[in-house]
Amino acid sequence: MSVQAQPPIALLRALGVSAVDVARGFGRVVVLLVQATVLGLKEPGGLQAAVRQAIIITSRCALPVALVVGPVGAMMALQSLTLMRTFGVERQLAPLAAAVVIRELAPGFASVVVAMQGGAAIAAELATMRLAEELDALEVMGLEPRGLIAGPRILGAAVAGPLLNTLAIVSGITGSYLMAVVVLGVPHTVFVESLPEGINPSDLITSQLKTMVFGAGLGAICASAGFSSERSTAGVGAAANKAVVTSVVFVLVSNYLLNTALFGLRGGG
Amino acid sequence: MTSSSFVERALWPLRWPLGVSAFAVRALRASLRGPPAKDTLLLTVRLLVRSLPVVVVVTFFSGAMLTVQAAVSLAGFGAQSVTGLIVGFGGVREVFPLLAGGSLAARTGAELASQLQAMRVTRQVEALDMMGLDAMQLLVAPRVIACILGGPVCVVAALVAGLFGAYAIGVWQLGIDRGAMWNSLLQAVSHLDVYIGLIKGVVLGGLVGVVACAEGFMSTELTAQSVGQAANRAVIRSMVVVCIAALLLSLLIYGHLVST
Repeated sequence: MSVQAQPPIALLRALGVSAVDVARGFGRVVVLLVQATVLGLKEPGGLQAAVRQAIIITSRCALPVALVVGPVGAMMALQSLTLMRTFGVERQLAPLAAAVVIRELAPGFASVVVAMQGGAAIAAELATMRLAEELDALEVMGLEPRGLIAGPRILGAAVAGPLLNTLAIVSGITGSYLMAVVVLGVPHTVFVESLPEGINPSDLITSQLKTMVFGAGLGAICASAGFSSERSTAGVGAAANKAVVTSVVFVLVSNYLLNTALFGLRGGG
Repeated sequence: MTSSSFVERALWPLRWPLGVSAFAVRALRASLRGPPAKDTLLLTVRLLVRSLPVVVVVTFFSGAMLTVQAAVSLAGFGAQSVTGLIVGFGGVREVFPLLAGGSLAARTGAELASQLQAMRVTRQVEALDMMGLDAMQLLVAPRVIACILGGPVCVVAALVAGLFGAYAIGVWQLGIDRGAMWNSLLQAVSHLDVYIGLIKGVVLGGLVGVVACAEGFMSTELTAQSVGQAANRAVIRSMVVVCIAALLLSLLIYGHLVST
């Protein structure tokens, strides 16, 4: 800043600048999402490339998703039982666990893990391509990096989201089963027989659609972070870092907004 | 990509925890020798400045999300009074500390790993060795200690932000009375839960620090790509370690409450 401003004005200006940055970044991501998807599908062999990316992302994230959502499901069973045993409603544990895992824990945590593992990899990969001037080379050859590079990755992430969500649901329920039945001694038959009460087809569909939205959104955020990275070794790390943080925040904020939109909550609940 | 044989891959789940534990022991011994005080302080401040905003945003919205979800799920059971209770109970005990650890891993974990890896790529660590200086003591120890100091602060911020998110949504969106919402949020929370949260913060922070520094320090590949990969591995591995550790801590601390 060349002009020395009074402290309140300077603070206001700094806030304004960062607000504009956020808005600009948001706009860039939305434009990239639309352009890359359209161009990526128009590209010859774009669909195969997207499928390949979906397989890569799914296989990279499968183990972390299971290792994160499993313990989270177990934790939920543990804490629910501390409450439920005092009220003597132990039988409600399995339906509650299934419903909470399907509605919130699985889509939320699976998407956070995809952001951390798959998203960071996308950003680092694109930033490395930028550093090695591979993206410029593509442009020189008259090819479109948005469609060719970003498109398949965004589509792949959107497809991988629901696949990994399915795995997350299974591992979350398994985690709460292991905690409840094996560690805390809830009868096996009670847990298994009451489990289907908590599984609701409309919940399952909502959960899968949510992770598809999260996958596409975080794919676009990470691709955008990679494309706009600084051309240096440190820039690659910084792009991956920024991509992870932005997409984790995106997942949680849009999860709240989607919940509100889906359930149309108004005053009085 | 380094080529690795099938046996190596199969043994990896055993080798990695052992390698990280050995690294943790070395880091702790280096910390006991006295890390540079100024660096430790600056790194702690940097951690807080970088990670706290993420922690606050993430937990605020997860508190809000939990409240919306709980209000919908409990609509049949007098949602007004129970929603706050469930969110306060589950949030303070598990969700908010866990997400604080996750945000710390995403922000500071990635940063520490890429810093250390970049220092190795540019041969700065070897230069320290050449000068007879101890890189563990100068570089790793201050970072691990910063995470141990910053962890509890992040957890407290997470609890406050998460409860405030739940409160704000309960009052403004669901139209629950202010006093009633606040009371029901705090009904199932005791002082003990906050102390346990602090302990969790210390453990989870320390684990994020150790895993992130190990990822930055232990890899054998030294290229520009390896910086991004180190950051990537640090985030996801510390997230997994945080989740498993949070479960074990809860089982240890709250586990005996269930059987009574």
